[in-house]
Amino acid sequence: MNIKPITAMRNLLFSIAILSICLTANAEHILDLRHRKEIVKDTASMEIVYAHIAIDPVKNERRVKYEMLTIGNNFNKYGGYDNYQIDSLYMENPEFDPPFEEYRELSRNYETISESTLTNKTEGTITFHGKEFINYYRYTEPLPAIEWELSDESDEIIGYKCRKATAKWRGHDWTAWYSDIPEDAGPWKFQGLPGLILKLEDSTGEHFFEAIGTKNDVFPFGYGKKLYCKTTREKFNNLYKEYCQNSGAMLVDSGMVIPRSEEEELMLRSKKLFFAPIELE
Amino acid sequence: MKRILIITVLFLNLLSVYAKVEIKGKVTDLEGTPLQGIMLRLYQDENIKAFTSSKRDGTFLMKADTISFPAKITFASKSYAPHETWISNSADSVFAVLEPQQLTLEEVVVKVPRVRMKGDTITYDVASYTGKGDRSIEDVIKKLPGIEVSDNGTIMYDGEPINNFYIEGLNLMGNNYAIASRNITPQDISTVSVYERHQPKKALKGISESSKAALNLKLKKGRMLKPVGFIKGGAGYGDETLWSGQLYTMLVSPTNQTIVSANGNNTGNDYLNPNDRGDKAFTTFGRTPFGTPSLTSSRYIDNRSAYFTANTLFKLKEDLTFTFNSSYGLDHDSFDGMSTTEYLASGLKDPIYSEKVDNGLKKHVVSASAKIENNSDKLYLKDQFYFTGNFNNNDYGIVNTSSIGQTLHNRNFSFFNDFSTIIRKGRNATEITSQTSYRHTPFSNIAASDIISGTQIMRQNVEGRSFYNRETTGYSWKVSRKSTIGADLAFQINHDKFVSFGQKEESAPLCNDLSGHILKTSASPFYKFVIPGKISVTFTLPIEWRDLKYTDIVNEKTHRFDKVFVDGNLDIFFKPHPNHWFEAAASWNHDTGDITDFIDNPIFTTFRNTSTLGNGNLVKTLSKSARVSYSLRNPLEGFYLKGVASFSRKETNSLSVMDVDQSGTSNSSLNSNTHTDISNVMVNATKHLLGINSRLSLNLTGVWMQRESMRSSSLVNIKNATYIATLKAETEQFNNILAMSANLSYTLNHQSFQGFIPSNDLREFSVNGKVSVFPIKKLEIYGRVFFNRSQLEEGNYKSNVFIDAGAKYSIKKFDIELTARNLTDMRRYEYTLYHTLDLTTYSYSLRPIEMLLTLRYNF
Repeated sequence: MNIKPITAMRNLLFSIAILSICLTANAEHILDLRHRKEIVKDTASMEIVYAHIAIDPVKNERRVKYEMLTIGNNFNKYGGYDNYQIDSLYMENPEFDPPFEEYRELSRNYETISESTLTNKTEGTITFHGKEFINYYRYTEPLPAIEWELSDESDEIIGYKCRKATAKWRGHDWTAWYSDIPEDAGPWKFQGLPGLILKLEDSTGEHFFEAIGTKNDVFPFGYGKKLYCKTTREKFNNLYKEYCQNSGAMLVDSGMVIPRSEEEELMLRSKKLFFAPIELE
Repeated sequence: MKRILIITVLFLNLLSVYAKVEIKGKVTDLEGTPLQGIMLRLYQDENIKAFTSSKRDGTFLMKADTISFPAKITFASKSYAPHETWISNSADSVFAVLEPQQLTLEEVVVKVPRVRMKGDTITYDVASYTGKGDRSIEDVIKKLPGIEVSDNGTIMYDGEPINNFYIEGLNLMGNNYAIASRNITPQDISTVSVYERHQPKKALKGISESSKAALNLKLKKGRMLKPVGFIKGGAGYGDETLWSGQLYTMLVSPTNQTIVSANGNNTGNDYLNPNDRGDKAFTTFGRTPFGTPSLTSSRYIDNRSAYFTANTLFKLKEDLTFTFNSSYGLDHDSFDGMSTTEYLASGLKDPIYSEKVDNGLKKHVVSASAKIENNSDKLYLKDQFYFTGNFNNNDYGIVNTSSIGQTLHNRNFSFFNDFSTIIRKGRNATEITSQTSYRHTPFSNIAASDIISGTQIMRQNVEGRSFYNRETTGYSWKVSRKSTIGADLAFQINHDKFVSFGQKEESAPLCNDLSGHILKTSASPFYKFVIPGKISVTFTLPIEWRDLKYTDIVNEKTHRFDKVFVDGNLDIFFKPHPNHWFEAAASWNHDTGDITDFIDNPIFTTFRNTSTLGNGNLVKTLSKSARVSYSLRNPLEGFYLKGVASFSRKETNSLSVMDVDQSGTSNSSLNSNTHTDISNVMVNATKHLLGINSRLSLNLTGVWMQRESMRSSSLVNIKNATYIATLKAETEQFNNILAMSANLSYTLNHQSFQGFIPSNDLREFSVNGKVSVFPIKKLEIYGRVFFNRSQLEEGNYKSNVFIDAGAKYSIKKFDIELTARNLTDMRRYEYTLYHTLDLTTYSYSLRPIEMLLTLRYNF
């Protein structure tokens, strides 16, 4: 009943990692994965895979996404687990470069996500990389100071004893369960606890993260090489909300889809995307 | 005074121990280099009181509200060995030197079954659910949360049968999908998706929701564009030489899907559905009128069975498909049994019939179907034609006080055409359907004779035909984004003919000769309020005019009926949260009978039993029902819960009557008002215990029924309460080396017959278990046990045990399997059963201990 991770090939990945470390010692290294390029910032040594359940309260729709926290020496990354699985295929086999049709079929089997956060542990900042419609955005902010209240309650998650902590942060009441793993990190932007967060949920049930596996793969990581527009957190959140709520209208206005009738245009314009913001403020 | 002094001293002492503290210090490595990002925790009684991380220069400052000394500080990092120190006060700085040591997490393989959810679609990764012993995709589908698979292969989701079984989004097999689900191997499938509340007609999306789900199989890359399947053959020995063979092949490409399957065996496995469909002249005569044991047929029948099916689907355009399905099957079965029935006859000495029956049953069924379907957002168009031919040639050898040979020979041919179109224009949808069928039973003959003397005891010839046509048109208009109004108009005609002639020895012949029609014209206005995925409310108000005319030639009567009925149906679906929803339904429906009600001369169902289908009066019923249900599902956690409560009352003017005398039994009906009440409560909970690789399912059901019946001129008020508790448990342990499953069921049946005989309670307990061991890769050794303990009467129980075992070894593309059945070599199956008021004791011969060796080649 185990999931076969596309993973590992640890030796090969390790050599890629060593290579990347050597290169990053002097300058920013770009890793060409053939299907995309990655600006390498660090080398991973531990990964935590989370299941993230999100609910769109307006559409009354629920989605399950698999996400991964990648831990390096100076940086941590939080992004899509499926993105990593596809990257692994390219990393473990340098000859792997399927034609477009095959790549499309491959992509159908995975649900990649276009959002990621990169935490700079030395500087105490976090950089968010995201996409709205066809544009890529990024913003950097100081690591959020989440005022956690520790509790003595404990629970066990994937074999680790965890303690409870609660906090009110950016519009939600959060409950976190952190472990003794000595890493001040967790899902998305969550950190600030004396151990790695393995479970996190908000009081409304709109977001639920739970660790479902750990790995010790070694590989270079950073963020995708794209043409990013620099923005701020508030601006991006407003932009993204607007996009999700008016995605149909934006698509019609862009001319990428031409409705065949007035009825169809009305129907298309009323389409909304799944929207479950983690930050409300 | 002394007490105050002590309290003051204690208080001052406490103040000195518990104080607001600041602890500072520095962390370095062995060479004295300051370490940044080391995690520090201050513990008090194993609880964390404060924490911080070291700065770039290795220093730290930790503040705590109140602590008592001594207290523990720990230093942890993924690159250095853990370190701890105790402090006795906060005044001194704390210095720690850490040794390098890389932390490696104990790898926890992702164990949660890979489930993906998007809207109403739940997608399961097949590899995550496939156990070592799973042979077909059905074995995997059974394990998915919320899904049950019945013995005949019907897949149910959330308690309801699915409405479509897709392979790569195409519906090749129609309702015959068990051929695919029972033969496709899990290794060929990448994912199984459940489409909840699936509306298969794209043109109705947003207008009409379905309460049923659909399943879609997605093939693995590399399993498309080439034939996949298997061929297998087996031989063995029991009372005779055993054989079995099967070929299954499937080809799936973007434009064509084809499945061909051929099977044959004499190992006890029938292929054809024992329930016949057709007109009255055909369905009135059951295949096994002398009874069957309450056991799976493969335990007691001796058979020669074969089944062939060919199915192909062509995708002509993006939304246009053509499907052709055909099949031919035969089941030649024989089994023998003895029965003794003590009938309750008021005012008479209770008659007892005792007989031994040898059943020889030959059934052939041929069917073919062709369907063209366009399923686009704007236009739905379907026309499907199918044909079925049924052929039965049965012989029964009955030994009671004499030896009697009875035969039942019949044929039935059914032709059916189903046309449907929906035109969607924006908010409006217009629907037209036309269904036409013709069923013909040229003969359905029963004959019985005394084997010794050769004298004919009775004979009966029955012929029937039925024509049915229903034309409907519907128009719906979306008056707003949430509301739709519309109306369905329907015209239906049923024309039936039934002719029977039966005679027993020198008695007067029993004849029926009726023909006639029912016309139904209806208008059903409706209102629907739909917020997709959240709320759906539908109210329908069908108004129907019925006109009926049957001519009875034998009794020289004409029966006419003409009336308008107004009914009402309300369906509510409410989903307040993506994980749980409520459903409620209420209905008020009138119905009337058909030609059956006027077949008022007896018909022989066996050489001694007759049945009078009607009493010359049209049966009129009014059904009132209400149902509420609650469903909760959390596929990620593997938890499903469903609760259902329902009540229905059926009021009718037909009271069933059974008379018993020394010559036989007769069933008939009486024109008298009566009603039947049925209440039902069911709770089903399923939980996948992911941590221990196990699944549990509990079902609790209670059914209460009250009805009236007439037995030998006495009215009997029958009350029946049945309580069933079923627990299913499955587990795979020791890295899947051991797999176990058990199905435990307990039934309590309470029956009371007011004013007749004392009430009785009958209990039954059964266990169906399987244990598989995989000592080495590719080898499975398994054993199955079927245990049943039934209460026959107060203090009298009967137990039965069947044990089967087998071993399967896979080598490359070959599977070799040895199976052994009925290891206890139980040769007779005997039990006693209450059929309402009558007590029957059965005894059937069983298949012996049998061994079968099978070789399978997978391609």
